[in-house]
Amino acid sequence: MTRIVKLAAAALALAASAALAQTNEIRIGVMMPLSGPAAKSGQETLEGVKLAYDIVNGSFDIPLPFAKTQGIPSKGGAKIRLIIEDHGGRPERGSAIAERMITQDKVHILQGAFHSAVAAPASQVAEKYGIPFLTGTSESPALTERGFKTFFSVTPTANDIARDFFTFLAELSKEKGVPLKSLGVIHVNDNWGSSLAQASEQLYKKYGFEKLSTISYAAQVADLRSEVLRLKADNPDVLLQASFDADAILAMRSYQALAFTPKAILAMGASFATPDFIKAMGKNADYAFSHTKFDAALIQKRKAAAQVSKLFEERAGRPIWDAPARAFTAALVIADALQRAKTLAPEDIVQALRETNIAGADTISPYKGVRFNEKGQNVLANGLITQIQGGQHYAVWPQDIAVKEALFPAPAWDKR
Amino acid sequence: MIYAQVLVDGLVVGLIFALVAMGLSLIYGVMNIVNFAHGEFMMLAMYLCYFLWAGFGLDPLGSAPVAAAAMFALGVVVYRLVARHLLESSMIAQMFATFGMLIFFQAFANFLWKADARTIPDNWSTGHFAIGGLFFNGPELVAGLGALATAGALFWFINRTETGLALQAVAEDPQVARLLGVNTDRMYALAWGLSAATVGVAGALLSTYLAIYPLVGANWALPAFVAVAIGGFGSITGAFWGGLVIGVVQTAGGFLTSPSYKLLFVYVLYLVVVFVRPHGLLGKR
Repeated sequence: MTRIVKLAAAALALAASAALAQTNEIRIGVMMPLSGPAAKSGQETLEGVKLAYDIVNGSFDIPLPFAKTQGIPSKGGAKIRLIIEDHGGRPERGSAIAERMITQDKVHILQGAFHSAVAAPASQVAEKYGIPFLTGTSESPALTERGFKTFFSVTPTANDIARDFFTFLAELSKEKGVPLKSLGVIHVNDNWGSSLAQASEQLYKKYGFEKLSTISYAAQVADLRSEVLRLKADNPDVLLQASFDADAILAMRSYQALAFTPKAILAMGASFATPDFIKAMGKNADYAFSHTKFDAALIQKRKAAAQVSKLFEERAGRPIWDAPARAFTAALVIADALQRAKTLAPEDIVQALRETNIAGADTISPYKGVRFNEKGQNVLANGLITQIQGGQHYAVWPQDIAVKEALFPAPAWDKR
Repeated sequence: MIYAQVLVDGLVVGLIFALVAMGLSLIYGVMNIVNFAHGEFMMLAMYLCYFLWAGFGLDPLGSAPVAAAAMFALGVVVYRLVARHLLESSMIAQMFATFGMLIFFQAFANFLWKADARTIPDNWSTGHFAIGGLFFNGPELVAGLGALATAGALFWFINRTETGLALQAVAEDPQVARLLGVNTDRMYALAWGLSAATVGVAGALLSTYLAIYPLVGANWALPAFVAVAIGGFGSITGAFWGGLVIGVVQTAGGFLTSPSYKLLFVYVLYLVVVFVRPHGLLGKR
């Protein structure tokens, strides 16, 4: 009897291992905020990721690597399977999800997490197991500053974004002859938001600002009165902002209510770029600047962007935008590394990621390209700045991508 | 001048905290149950106003009575289906049940309506004006005054009508009230209905200027809990003053120091009340 059981077990084990070899799939764990304050942005970012891997898995006539072929060619056409989890923007869920995806789902690589505050603990778990973690959307520079061996960031960080802001403002101030002396920063009090404040702290004097006032707030907030009153009392020339969706609308309405009018308001992240923002603010959305990593202006600059945007629209109901586009590019960076990796062992994938060298023209992003430094940060990442004019976003910076001139300074709310 | 603005803004937001807190306190006073899903009633009312606006072009302020009626009905249904069974249960069971409803309603909204931050762009209260250097935002001012009026109506109902007095009798001692011929079951249902209706009005008032998304209610319910604790559990008057105090303390505290600390002042105040006057400012021992 025991012998029969043993034999059966051996046969089962054999069959199972054969099945494993045959399924020939590459498992990618994707964590995104599908609920919580950034859920809307998170859900659409996930669509960008799914679209990228569908293009890798299927056959599409798009001028992108892996579009025409099916699966990852060097791995026998292995298909990508996504294991998707919602972290709701909660850091503690990030590590639990990473742990589960690595130990139970046996993922080959992790991608995410939108929130830097979630990417931080989740990638720590990945580092512990030696599994690569790649982010296309988490912008906190602290993530790559840790110098992890398995962590890679394709996106510009808050430092790059702040540098873009300051360069743009310096050019604008000179061109229009409007001196800018005081700077305000308002941000949600998580890793990502604080990173904008820290980067500004380091840069503001260098770019000729004399005074900096920083306001932080909790993303889940009922009102922003004292925050905006504080800003109004300090009355900075320029305001930099790091917000999510609903709080960005609340903040803007509070500026208007208290007649707080900086000469320019510039936001990083999705907030001002979401259609909900323009819908909510109507004509008062005008003059707001966003730092973004995707804009319709890129459709002329990147050969695949138009088709990708259209495919995205079929799924999400609107053209592709910043976060989904970045996540899309990140997914193709992963596919590229999987293609070049000798085997699917984690250390080979990490090595392949380390050797990444992709030209900007082969992505749909404004980046000059993708190449990682020793800390895993993409050194060729940069963004562009758009302004809402007449309820539409237009690229206004840098010069080679700009389609309209920036309107500056912004008039008082009641003069619009 | 900016200090006067701080005070006015604190009072306006405080009035809305007060209205939300009063509904919470009502259920606790009558039934000894803390309704953790209180903010979710508000969120549902906001969605109702949104869809009435999107579908029928109804002004959210015009929708306020509809929201009140619909939430009243929902409150009664929740009482019949859930809360009624909790009367004799342990506090833990009560907490789990109402907390479960919170999760259910949030997930329900997220599932049905997605996480979009919806807004109602314009209504008749939209606009800004300044009086003597003080800035007012139309919708917020109307929301504050609407909250005040609703609070007044609730006071009147509870203290001046026979049904309201019966409600108070049940809160005082359900057994005696029953002996005197009060139908306690109906009174409990009424308390849930009224509580949900007041927070429904709050939702309608807030939908004129706040983004509407599944978690919006939770942002308002948490300060409301503190307001109830400061004012005294079960005291509707206490909840009203508690809400006002919170509004002013967080706005002024945040302005004078750093807005990052604004909730700190609220919770420090809460701790002081808990240590010095555990039954709250106006609560019964």
